[in-house]
Amino acid sequence: MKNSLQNFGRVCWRILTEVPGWPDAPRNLRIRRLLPIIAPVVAMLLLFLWNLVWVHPRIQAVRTAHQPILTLAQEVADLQLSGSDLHATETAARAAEVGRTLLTEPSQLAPALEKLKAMAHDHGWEATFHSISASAPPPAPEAAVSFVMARGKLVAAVGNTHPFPSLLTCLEQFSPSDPWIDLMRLALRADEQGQPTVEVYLRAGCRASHEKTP
Amino acid sequence: MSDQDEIAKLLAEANAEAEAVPAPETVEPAPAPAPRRPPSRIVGRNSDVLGVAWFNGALHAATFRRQKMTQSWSCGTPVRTVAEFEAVIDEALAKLEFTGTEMFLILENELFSHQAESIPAFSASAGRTVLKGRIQRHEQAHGRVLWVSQPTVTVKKEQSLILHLLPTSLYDELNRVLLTRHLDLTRILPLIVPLQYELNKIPSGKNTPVIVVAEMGTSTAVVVGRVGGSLLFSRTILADLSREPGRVGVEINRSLLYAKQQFDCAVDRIWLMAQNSQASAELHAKCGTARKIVVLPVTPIDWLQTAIKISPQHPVNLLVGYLKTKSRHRLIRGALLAAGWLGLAGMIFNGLNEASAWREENARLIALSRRATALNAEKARLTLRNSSVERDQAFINQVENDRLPPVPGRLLGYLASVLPVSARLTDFNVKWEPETGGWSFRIDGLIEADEETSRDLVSSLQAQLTKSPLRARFNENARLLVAAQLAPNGANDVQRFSLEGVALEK
Repeated sequence: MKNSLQNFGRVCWRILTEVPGWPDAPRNLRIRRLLPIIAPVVAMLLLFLWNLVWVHPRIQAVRTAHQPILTLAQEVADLQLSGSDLHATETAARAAEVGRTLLTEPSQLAPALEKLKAMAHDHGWEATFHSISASAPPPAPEAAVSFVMARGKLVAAVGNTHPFPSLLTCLEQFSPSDPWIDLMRLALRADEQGQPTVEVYLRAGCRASHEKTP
Repeated sequence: MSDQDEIAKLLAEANAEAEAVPAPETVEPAPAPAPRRPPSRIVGRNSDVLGVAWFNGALHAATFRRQKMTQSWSCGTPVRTVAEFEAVIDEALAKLEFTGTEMFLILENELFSHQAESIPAFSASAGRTVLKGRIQRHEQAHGRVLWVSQPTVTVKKEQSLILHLLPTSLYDELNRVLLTRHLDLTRILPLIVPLQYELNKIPSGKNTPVIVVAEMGTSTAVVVGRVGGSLLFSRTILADLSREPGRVGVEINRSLLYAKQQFDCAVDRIWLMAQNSQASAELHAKCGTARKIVVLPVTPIDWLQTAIKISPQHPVNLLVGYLKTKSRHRLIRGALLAAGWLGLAGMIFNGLNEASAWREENARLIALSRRATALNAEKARLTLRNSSVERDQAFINQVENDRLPPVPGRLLGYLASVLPVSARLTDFNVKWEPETGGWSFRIDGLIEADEETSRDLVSSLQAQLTKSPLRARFNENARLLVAAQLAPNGANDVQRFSLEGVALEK
């Protein structure tokens, strides 16, 4: 192994230092022939060492020193990418619009019911509504919306010759979007003479007490 | 700077250093020669080639520039040993004013042997293996040799060839002598190589058998072959053509008979390549008057002029392997040189790019550091904005998801539209079920029809509600159809029905 390495070294030396036409050239001339090859290698080695020992550690130190600010910049970029100001404005406007359909407090239900009553009257029905807020399910703690409940009874007004069509029209308007009121239950019963009696259960969306105004 | 220029420069410097050494003040009778300093010839142009023909004691030399002879010189004294060769080579170099380093040698002496061999006509590799075996046996008996084979005409299904064998010791001695004079020996050729070259140029028809006789110092070479074809055989006659023409003639006649006998080849023309034509009459007498003898006045210098035209890569060059190795070494060195400088250039280019990129990055880091306060404020604003968006979106989703569709009115309206004319509702209930997310309903009514018709009507009503957009699904157990006696006279059948189910169930 040692001899092989020595032989290999000798062959390399002979190849790299060969003086054309002068196989037994003296050592100093051979070394001068080697210079054009060894010079770039040495230069590359020095460059590599300079990078390794001086440049890269210095760069690394500066990068480490600036790491917090880089992280901050990255976080800002991520936050910017996750949404836009326009989207935020639109969402806020939409939330405000939706929020306006909610009652700000349960006491606002009575005027809404009065409007429904008036509307039913216009369609030939006499309506009576009672708030039953005590029976409403308690809202979840994180819920933005709670509900207030109401029960109503509708009787065809005297002179309403077509109670059923007018009832259908009336029921369509029992789910207004502003304020938000849902028809949850409908019970229709006709007596022997065919006169209908209608019972409805309504719920109205109300802003939860802990929810801030958007 | 080319290799040639560089070596010229190096040699010039070495020469200058040697010349700078002061001469000894007192001359002592020193029998041992002082180490030879680099001769002045190596300072100048060194692309010239020196050719030496060393034929059995006769030494001739010539210099060539681009294959054209510039000067020639012949040694007046016999040169038989390497020591004598060493003694005259300096004189030759001085006389010829040789300025190059490359040299070739046409060699013929008693140590450089040429053996006729036959090997089975196997594949080329198998034949070479057989040949190597024979060389090994030869080396065991006579020492190491430089060898090269030259194919001749194949007879009796065997590959015939001539083995040229030069003792390595002789080559080493010669090379040592030449190296000390900075001469690079690139070719050692037997005389048969230029002889064959000239044989192929003889103005006769192709494949015409001819015999070429050439004098080489105190010996005579005989080559028999076909013009433009293969050699038949060659011989070396140890007799001087000028001094013993009769003996040479006898041997030539034997060669002619041998060619006739072995190769069935009748040679009727003898080409005599010699410095004088005095022997032609004797040859004519010995070989028969029927044969024509053509005399070509050729000197050993002419053989050198022929040899310079032959490629250094000629297969019969004993140093062809050396030349290949030298070429390979030059290629490796060139590749390493190019790779080294290209690598350095690439590294510098890469370093400059990296430095430029780092400068930009550093400037960006400094700018970022200056904006730290603004970035913190921006981060706080964006965090607030995004959480606000998230909260608003959740609020919107909850409000929109929690709204109930107006199913009760729609179901009632749809039911009214599909209810048969003979049927009427008595009770209708629909209720939202928060647990299932659907709407449960119960429908009670009367149908004025017989039981079978009523059943069909109820089934049809069920089917229509099932296929409707409300996607009603009925509870079969709760389905009820019973006869109801409403009219006292029993004129018409009235059936009471009851249906239960769910609509828009998730």
